[in-house]
Amino acid sequence: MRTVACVLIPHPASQYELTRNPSLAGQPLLIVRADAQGVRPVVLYTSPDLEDLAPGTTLADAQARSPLARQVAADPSAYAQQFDELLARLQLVSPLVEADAPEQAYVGLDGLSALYGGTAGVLAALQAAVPNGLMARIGVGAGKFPAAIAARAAPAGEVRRVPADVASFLAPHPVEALPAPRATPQRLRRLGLRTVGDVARQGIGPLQAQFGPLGAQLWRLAQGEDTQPLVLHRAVEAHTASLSFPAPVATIETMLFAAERLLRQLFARPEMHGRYARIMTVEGAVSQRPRWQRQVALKEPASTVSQAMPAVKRLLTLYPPQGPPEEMTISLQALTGEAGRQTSLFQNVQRAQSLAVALRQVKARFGGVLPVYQIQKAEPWSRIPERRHVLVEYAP
Amino acid sequence: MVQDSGTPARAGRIRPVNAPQPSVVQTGPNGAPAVVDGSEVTSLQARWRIDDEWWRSAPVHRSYFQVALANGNAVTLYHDLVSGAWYRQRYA
Repeated sequence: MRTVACVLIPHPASQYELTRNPSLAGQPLLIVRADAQGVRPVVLYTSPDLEDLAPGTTLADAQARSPLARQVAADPSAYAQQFDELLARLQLVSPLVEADAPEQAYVGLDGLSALYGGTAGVLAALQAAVPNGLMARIGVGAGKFPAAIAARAAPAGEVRRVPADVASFLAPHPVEALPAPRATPQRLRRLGLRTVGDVARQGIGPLQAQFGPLGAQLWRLAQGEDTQPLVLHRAVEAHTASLSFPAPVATIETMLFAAERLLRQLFARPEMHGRYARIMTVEGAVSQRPRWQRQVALKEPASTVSQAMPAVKRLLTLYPPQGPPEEMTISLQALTGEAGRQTSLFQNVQRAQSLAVALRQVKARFGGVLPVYQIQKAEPWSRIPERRHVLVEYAP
Repeated sequence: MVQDSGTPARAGRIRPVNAPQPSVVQTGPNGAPAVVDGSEVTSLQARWRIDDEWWRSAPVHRSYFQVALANGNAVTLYHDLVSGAWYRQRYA
């Protein structure tokens, strides 16, 4: 029987903001951002004590319900980065890691006992892999679904193992806990099935008749049988370099200087030799603002500073940070060994134009006669060698 | 009738590529080059003849020789059978 752990980080955005600003501890927190139209601030995440506030609630409504709540601007890229770091650390414990949701990951534990000196050692390694400050709940079971239910039931920072009688353990949980499309729990409730135990007590036939293959799957999950494989998380190879400014930077020139220095560091790394980056991310911590981040897909993959800098310059000019950056980070991703350059359909035209410009400069330098000739085929079939090709004065 | 544009003739703008270069050659008893521009011929590697443009007023009759010289160079040269002069010329 296989063993799967579910690592759950409840309210990851709230936890991240708390680690960044400990003075927020113990207070209700509203993490807000502008709505899709960029007009009204809406609540994106909350602290655990305000979790009944649905995402998308306007800030005005949220404040009416919780006048003492502190407000923080959402920083989704930082939350995503935090989760990526968690996944990377979990992958150091086990190669089988699945990223399920922004706050949940599954880890395959089979075959690790000998490495870590028993199951307790594996679980200790798993707990140690969670970065400091994140209160992870870890559930361990024979499949993803039981492990996830156990994680939700585990106290913060602790491990909960699914007991031997899996079905009885799952039975009291509401049908909303079952992994199914959003409308399915409502349909189950209309049929009088309110808990996982209610589903388990049905025959597989009626559930299949109502829900098709999904019904059979829900029935098996309710019985505690979960054979869904882990879908492995593939980490994106990225090379990152960052630097902190002694004081917030207000000019583009200083940011460009910093970017050039970072790119020099990145392209000088041995692992970047002979490789080209197709995607570049420039980000930074901005004074009293959410983290600034911009990503650009390079039209021509870059392997040198001079190839990458025009894109950075364009990016910083067109989409400057909303405030003075205190730190800058550049990541190179989508690395390839081939340049794969996109050539222009009109390359010959471009070449002719640049040659014409060069010739005008030569003409201006040496006078009216152009000392440039072009070899053209005249009679390539001729047996007389001097008849085959001719030199023609180049006329752009 | 198209009027004369007044533009001067531009024949001078076209130059031949691989034009023959006059050469001083001493021949051996079989008519093959023995000394080319002061360098002795060590071996005769190939020999061929072209006859072309015989329908024109200046027909082409050439006898080509590919030789190795004592200075280590390999050269191709021809004997103009009309004028009797010798020329160096690459033949590819």
